[in-house]
Amino acid sequence: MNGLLRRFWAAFEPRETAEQKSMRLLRAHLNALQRRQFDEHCWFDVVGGQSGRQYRVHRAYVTNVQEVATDGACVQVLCFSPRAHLPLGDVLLVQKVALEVFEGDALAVACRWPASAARRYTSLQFLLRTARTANRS
Amino acid sequence: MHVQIVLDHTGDTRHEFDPADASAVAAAEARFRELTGKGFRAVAPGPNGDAGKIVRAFDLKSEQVLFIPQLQGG
Repeated sequence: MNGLLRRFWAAFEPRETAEQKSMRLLRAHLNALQRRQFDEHCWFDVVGGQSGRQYRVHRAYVTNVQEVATDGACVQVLCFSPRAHLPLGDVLLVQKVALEVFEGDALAVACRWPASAARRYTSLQFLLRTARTANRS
Repeated sequence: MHVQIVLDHTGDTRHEFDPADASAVAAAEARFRELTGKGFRAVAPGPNGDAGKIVRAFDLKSEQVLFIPQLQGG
C-alpha cells in the first residue's frame, strides 16, 4: 500500500527535463575552465585533438562553433551536429567531444561560413540576451 | 560499477553494470557492438573534463563510456 502511495505521489513531483539532464551531463564533462567560461559567457573553448586549433562552442543548436585565433577573433564558423534529436546540452557535448577526439571527422562533415557570419550571430545573441534580461525585469 | 551512457532525446540513458558479473559484462559488450554497429562512436571521457579517447573495441578498462551519435553538417 505504501509503495502504491509513493508511486502515486511521485507522479506529481517535479521531474528533470531532458534539457536540464543534458546540461547536467555537459557540465560534468567540461573541465574547470570550460565550466567557468560557459557560466560567464555562454560559450566554452575546445582545443582540436588533431590540429591543436582553438574552437569556441556557443550555447546554441546551429552555426554555434567558431574556429578562433589566439586573440579570440573568429576565423570561420562551423556547423555540425549529431544526426539525432538531442537536447541542447547533449548537442554541445557531442561538439566538444568530436573536436577533441575525432576532429578530422567533425571537420569533414561541417559546413563552413566566413567570420562575418559570426558577427551577425554575436549580434543576434546580444539581442536575445537583452530581450531575456528585459523579460526577467 | 561501470556505466555506458547513450546520448538520446531524453538527455541520456545510462546502463550500469558490474565488471565482475559475467552476464552483465556480456550484455554490455552486446550493447557496445549494437550501438557502434549503428554508427555511434564510443568515447571514454578524460579525467576532470579533459579530452577523452575513442574506444574501438569493448574493454573493461574504461569505467565510463559515452556513446555519441553520428555527425552531420548543418
